[in-house]
Amino acid sequence: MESPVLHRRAHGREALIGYLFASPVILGLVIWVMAPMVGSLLISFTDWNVLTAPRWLGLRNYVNLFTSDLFFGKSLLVTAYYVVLNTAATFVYSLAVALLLNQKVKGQGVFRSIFYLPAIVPIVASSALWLWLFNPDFGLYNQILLGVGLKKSLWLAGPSTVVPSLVIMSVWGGAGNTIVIFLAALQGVPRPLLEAVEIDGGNWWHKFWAVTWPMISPVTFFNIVVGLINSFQIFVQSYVMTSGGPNNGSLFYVYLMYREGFERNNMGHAAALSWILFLMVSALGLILFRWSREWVHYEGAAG
Amino acid sequence: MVQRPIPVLACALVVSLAAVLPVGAAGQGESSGGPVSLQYAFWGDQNEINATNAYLNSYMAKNPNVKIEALNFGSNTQFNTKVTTLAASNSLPDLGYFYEPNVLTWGMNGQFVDLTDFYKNGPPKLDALKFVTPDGKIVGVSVANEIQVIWYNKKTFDQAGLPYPPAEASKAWNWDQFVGVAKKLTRDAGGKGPDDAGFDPSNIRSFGAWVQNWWMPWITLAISNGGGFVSDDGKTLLLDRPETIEAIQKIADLVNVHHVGPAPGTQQMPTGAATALLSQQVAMAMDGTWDLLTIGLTKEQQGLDFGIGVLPYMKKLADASVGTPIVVYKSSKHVSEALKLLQYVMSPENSLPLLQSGLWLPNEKRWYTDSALIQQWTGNPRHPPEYRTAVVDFALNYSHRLPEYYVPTYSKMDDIVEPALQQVWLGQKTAEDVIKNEIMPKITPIFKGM
Repeated sequence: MESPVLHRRAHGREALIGYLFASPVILGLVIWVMAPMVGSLLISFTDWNVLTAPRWLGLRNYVNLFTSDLFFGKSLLVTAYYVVLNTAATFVYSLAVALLLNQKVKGQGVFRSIFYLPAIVPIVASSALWLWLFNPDFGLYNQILLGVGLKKSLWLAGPSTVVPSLVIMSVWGGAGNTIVIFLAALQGVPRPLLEAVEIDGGNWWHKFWAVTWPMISPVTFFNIVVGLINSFQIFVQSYVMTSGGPNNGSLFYVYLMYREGFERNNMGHAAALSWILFLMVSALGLILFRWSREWVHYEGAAG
Repeated sequence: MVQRPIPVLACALVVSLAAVLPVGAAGQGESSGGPVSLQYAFWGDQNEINATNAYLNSYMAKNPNVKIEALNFGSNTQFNTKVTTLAASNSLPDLGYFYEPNVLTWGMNGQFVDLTDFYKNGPPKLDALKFVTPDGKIVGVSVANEIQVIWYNKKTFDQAGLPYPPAEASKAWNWDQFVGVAKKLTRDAGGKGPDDAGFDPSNIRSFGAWVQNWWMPWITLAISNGGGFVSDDGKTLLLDRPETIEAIQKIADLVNVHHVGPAPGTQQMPTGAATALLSQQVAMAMDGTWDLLTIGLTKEQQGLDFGIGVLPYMKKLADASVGTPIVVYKSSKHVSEALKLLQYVMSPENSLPLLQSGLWLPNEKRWYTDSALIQQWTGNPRHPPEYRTAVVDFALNYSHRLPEYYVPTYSKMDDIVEPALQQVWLGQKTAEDVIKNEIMPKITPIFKGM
């Protein structure tokens, strides 16, 4: 049996080597994530326009957001609308397409590529295209609507139609990743279970509801969470296509933060906005994880 | 004896905290009698990049001890992000373009050199181009002038058998004449005009007149109607005057009542006036003189037979000027050298290629009055014959100053005005309702707060 001292010295050295190997990541996390977070929290308690020294305000920025700010409420509403609509639409569309792409048909690989392609088109480039597609007077979509006898829509130019239009654009571009993940999950559904439903006389719906849906629930949950978090971050479309309009109908939260901080030089205000976003998304995450215990089945786990 | 592992994590924390604490201001460069290094900030497309490099290179050739680094900031909207970051790290350039909405706020924060005395010398610049703080200091002057005109496609007018828009102020149309002509040029898919029976406003193939919905056109037309946004002395809001409200309503009515304009929105006609005219989707486009570059190229490369007309007036002839200013930063270590470069860059004779390309108009009065000088910048195929009266004379005689030049709270107020007015452009609410009930209550405290 080795001496206790030698044993502990070897342990200490092992720990040191472990820390050393992990230090780049730890340093990166501390320098580029935690320190700026602390910094932005401190800034959110000040009035700072970058050009002059910051002025301590305490919680005034936060109070102002809820009382006298002219854009905060509208921005929250508009962002929440987009987040819910986009997550739901992407989810339903991706799952439906993944189910279809899981069928054994000819050219399966080609179809899978086609549905994934939009995910790699740069968003600024596709924005230019979508602007024309959505153009109320000459765009393709209104021509289609007129062709089938419906009325034209304002699409991006209408305060109530701008968010649904952006959701259409986002589902087209963003569904690719979600489809791929769903596809992988679908392929992990055990065949014997599906066959068992067939033997019992069930049709495709029974197969889906009784077997597929519970089996892919962890991935479903993942896609919902990731979808929500990504939707909250919408920015480019506001910045490039609509400037937050019309009538602030697309004044998304991150775009508002950017505008306040970098175009109006109102850093304290923007930092306060960012911390409120952090709290909201964290709260949402907590709620989701608690809710997931009701319906997400992890293979091998009890119940 | 207890062996404790070295607290690597603690060390890492200490090191990184030290790294993010503000570092002392980085020196910009020594100022001695010898070589001088200047940073010049600008933005623009390839055309402007080439022209900027050209005049900076010729300055360096004449001043061998000066080395100028031209910093391209990408675009005017990206500019403020980048310059704010530079300000935070005390590494601002020496001089250069500045994003117009923030010129006055930065100027009042003491960021720019006071150029009032500088501009007392030399040929006088146009007054409408001077950015002046409330206490009378000039912090920047637009490097170029831009006004608005009516661009039109001659082919569209020929096909309709209509006379071209007038190119002289004395013959300018009033608003009703302008609308009347626009109606004759608007056709739906069945070839009917707005005054014909069976006209289908939801299926228009070509529009008579495109007046955009941003602040330059509506403030100009409000001034033309006897109103405006802020009085010239900067003390009174004019937005709720009946004349201003009437002007805004008339612009909105172009689309919603007369059906001569394309659907409103922040991105109408995404490809711009040149393409809209060429494709005959639009017969007349009210837009800035900067368009001459693209419209001129469209004529040379694709045969667009264009013409220029003066703006229509509501009660009096009026136009407005915009132009990016060049400022000199107080933090510069070589202010006197920067001022010399400023003198050079601000002189129209040194940016002739940009003037001749049609992108810029000169910032000095004499370039609009002296025939020899006028010939220098307009005497080329890019500038059509009517340019002399429609642009040069009109800019000299009728251009007004816009609020961003003298109202520091303008951009904050505009954040409220522009979105609210979008309801008026869409025809959802009247101008009177929106301005009196939604806009004025919100912008009055901001305006007075200055």
